[in-house]
Amino acid sequence: MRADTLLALTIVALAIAFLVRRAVKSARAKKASGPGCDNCAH
Amino acid sequence: MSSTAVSERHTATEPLRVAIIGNPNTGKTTLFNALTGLRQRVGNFAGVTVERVEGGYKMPDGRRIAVLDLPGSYSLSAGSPDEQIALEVLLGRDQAHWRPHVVLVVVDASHLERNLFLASQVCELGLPVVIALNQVDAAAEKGITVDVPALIHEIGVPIVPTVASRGEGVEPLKRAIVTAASLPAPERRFALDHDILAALAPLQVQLEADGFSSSAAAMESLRLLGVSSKEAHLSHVADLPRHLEGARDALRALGLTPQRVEAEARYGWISGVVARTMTRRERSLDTYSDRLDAVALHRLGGPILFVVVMALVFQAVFSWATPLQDLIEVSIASIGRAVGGLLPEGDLRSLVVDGVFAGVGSVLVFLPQIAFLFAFIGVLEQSGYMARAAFLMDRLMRRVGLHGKSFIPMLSGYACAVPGIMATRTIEDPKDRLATIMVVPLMSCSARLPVYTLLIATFVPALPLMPGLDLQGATMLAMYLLGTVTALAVAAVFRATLLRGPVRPMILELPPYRMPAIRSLAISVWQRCQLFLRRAGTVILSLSIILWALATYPHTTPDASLAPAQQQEQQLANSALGRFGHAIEPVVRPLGYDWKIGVSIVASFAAREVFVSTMGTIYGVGGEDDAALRDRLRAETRESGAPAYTPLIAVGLMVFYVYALMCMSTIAVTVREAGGGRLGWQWAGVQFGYMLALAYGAAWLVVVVGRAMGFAT
Repeated sequence: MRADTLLALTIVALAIAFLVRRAVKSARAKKASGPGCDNCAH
Repeated sequence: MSSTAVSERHTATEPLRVAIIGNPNTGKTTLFNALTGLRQRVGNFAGVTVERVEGGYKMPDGRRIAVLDLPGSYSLSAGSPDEQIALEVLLGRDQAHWRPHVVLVVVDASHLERNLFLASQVCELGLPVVIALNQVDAAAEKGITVDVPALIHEIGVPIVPTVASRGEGVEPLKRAIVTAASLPAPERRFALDHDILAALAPLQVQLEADGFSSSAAAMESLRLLGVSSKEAHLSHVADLPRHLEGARDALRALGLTPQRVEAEARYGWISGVVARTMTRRERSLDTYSDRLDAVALHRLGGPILFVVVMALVFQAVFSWATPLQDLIEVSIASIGRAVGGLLPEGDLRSLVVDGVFAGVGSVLVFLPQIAFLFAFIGVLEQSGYMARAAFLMDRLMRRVGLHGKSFIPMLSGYACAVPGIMATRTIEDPKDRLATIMVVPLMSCSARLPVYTLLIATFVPALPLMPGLDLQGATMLAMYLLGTVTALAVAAVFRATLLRGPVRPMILELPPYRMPAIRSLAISVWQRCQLFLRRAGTVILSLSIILWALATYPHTTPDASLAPAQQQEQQLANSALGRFGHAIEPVVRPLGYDWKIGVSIVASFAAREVFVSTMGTIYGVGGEDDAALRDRLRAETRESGAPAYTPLIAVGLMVFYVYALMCMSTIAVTVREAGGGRLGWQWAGVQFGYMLALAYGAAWLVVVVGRAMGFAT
């Protein structure tokens, strides 16, 4: 595999990890306060 | 015995805890912001704060003060969920929050009589109280003067005149709060008849046995006479219903109406206080607000003015933002080219140019529109015009079976459905509230703006219709009106079927017109822009990267006989995204959409703007030049050579976005506000389902009717 493909796939994996982590955090926060809307910061 | 119900004294080592309470629209949040330096949203209408908001500040001697901004309440009657929050915090019955050491009651100097009802209730809770006599400037303009020393003497608590919007009186108020913490709690300043006291005595004793201070128990026993619903914070008080009914029977035996005892006693005392402390100069002329209202609230002129104002707003959002939008577009394209030039040909370069710059860049260009939209919403809110809009809509709201109060949450929905749904907490009737929750997401929120703007700018010509309004602005207005009118129609259906119930009249206080504060407006617009940029730099960036990967892999060996553009199209069609798109194409084909729009719609269930970034990524990966997305959409053709996108498809797509519920946060807040648990999920499911059906059906109808009228798809 070419180095730049590997780098690109690593960035894709990081993006997936970010979204999963965000979804988990938001699911946990849901009970305590707002639903975590990043459109309006509620 | 509950220790939380007993007044707690503050010690020097811990922060002094202060709760702010007051009638709606008295400037509580403005005062909270002035005290803490925070930037909570403010509006010139009731119901802006529906949650507890906490902040703090330090005194010059280093003492820390924690401040809690409670939702606006006319009384402690706990009729709506937000009033319940306030009562539970003040009584120390809110397990999730601290009980204050001092209560700061914000009183509107122009409406002393009504505001003192709540203040007098708070004064009996056994906590030190300070009163901020706010908006004394507006009262003076109306010819109202309050004798503050006399009022202090009457109520028995420190009172500080303030103009929170200008920061006047804030420093003396801070000092008064610290001083009040060491003062004894005030007591009831009016006397009840011995017979009434005797009737209430068993109830009061029971409440004291449950941990209420003597003063708070006296206030609660009087307040409970007028409360019909069961209150959660009193659910564990032993024998409460029996004692309460006993007290009511005893009062009826005296020839009194139990529900009226508190109001008659308090208002009887308050009217005397007001007569002794307030003077009102006779008004010889109508006020400025009255003269403006003669037009803004006119039976015929009012609605016309409302539509004209909204049309101007959307036209301005469209045309004023365009030069800035073009500048951002050119800048992003230049940076993308420069960065792309630094990287060797390959996947990483494609990721940066076609994924990140084409995807995120296509959303970022809408920053000026977002800024203008929120600036206009801010001006309308702060000036007091939004409250007039609610008044104008009240007749229509009642006709569809909604309470007039529902219009404020619906207006909030223009910015975002989440605070709109939370603002329904001001509505007392659960069926009214639920019906409003179900329709708030139909109001076009700011996340739809990039979708509308892209499609209108690409496919709708800027034909002038009348001075100040062209076809693009009118199309945008039509989308917002479509959402609003449909929301009212759907509410009527809910109120006539699943949520049937009586319609109650609304009492709406019209605030005076005020000049919007430029600083707070600028802060609010900047905060919205920051949120938009953060969203573009996180969620939309991540989704663009993932969509790029789906549009790029697996790699296809190019057919050397094809032209480069066709090779890229072949790669896209064979990618994971292309295969998924072709699989779902039969579902979107009746709407006139190809697989690329189908994929963009599916991706935008994560966030509506992702429609734009997905189109940007798809055309970035599948295209060979760096033309703007608008130009690529116009140039896209089908195999037959006919344009892939036509104005009819664009209108159908916009209608789809007006109706579809594509927002995880809205679903989450509906689950919570509709009762949580299984019930909450059921209502959220109904909401998602009917909106999706409406979106698909309406988009299909647009295409069918359009074709019948001779428009191309």
